[in-house]
Amino acid sequence: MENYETNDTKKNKTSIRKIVHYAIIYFIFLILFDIIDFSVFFIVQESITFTILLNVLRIVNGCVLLAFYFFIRNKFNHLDTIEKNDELVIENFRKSISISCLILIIIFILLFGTLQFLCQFLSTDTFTDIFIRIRPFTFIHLSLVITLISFLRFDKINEE
Amino acid sequence: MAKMTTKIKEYRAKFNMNQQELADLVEARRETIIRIEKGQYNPSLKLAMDIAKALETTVEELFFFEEN
Repeated sequence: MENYETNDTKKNKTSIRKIVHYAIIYFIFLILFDIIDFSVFFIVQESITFTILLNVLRIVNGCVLLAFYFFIRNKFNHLDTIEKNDELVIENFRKSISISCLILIIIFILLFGTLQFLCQFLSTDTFTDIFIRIRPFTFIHLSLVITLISFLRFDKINEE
Repeated sequence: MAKMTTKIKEYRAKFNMNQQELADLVEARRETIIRIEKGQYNPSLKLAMDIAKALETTVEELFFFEEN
């Protein structure tokens, strides 16, 4: 009975890596939604039907993401203090954030350069539209995905 | 360049202790103990001292530099 309980507790124990996997899926959903939202705006700017459809999609998407957010938060709250305070976890997150910032700076420079290059061929209005529509949130979501993926890379353990 | 090596594995064997048990004693994850044992991670002074205390030895005895 004692052994059974121990195994059961171990089975139910959520690890930080598992939560990171859930969080990656969550932020990938956010990025996909950003892309859909961004694309639809250019394809069907004037259509009322599509605008309504897009808004319905936004509401549904918002509800799903909110539910997902609470699910991850609940899992995180059930982590034991050791997982949250382990110095290797903190160290790996620190490294991951540095990598993420570096990659984002490179992406931003490349994107800005490409847009400036395109600006020579496109009208100024289109350029302004693109620039306004690339929301800072997309960069934040992208940055979080890169951070979490690099965390998994740093935290990869070859177990014995 | 000198590489830091550890005798944690030997000491664990002496006390018949597995990685999880040591991790629980020093309030760290098992993954952290694996990394330290493999020389892939240098622990903080606090963690090194906690490990030494758990294995009833000193930091100097447990961690040492090995010339390549």
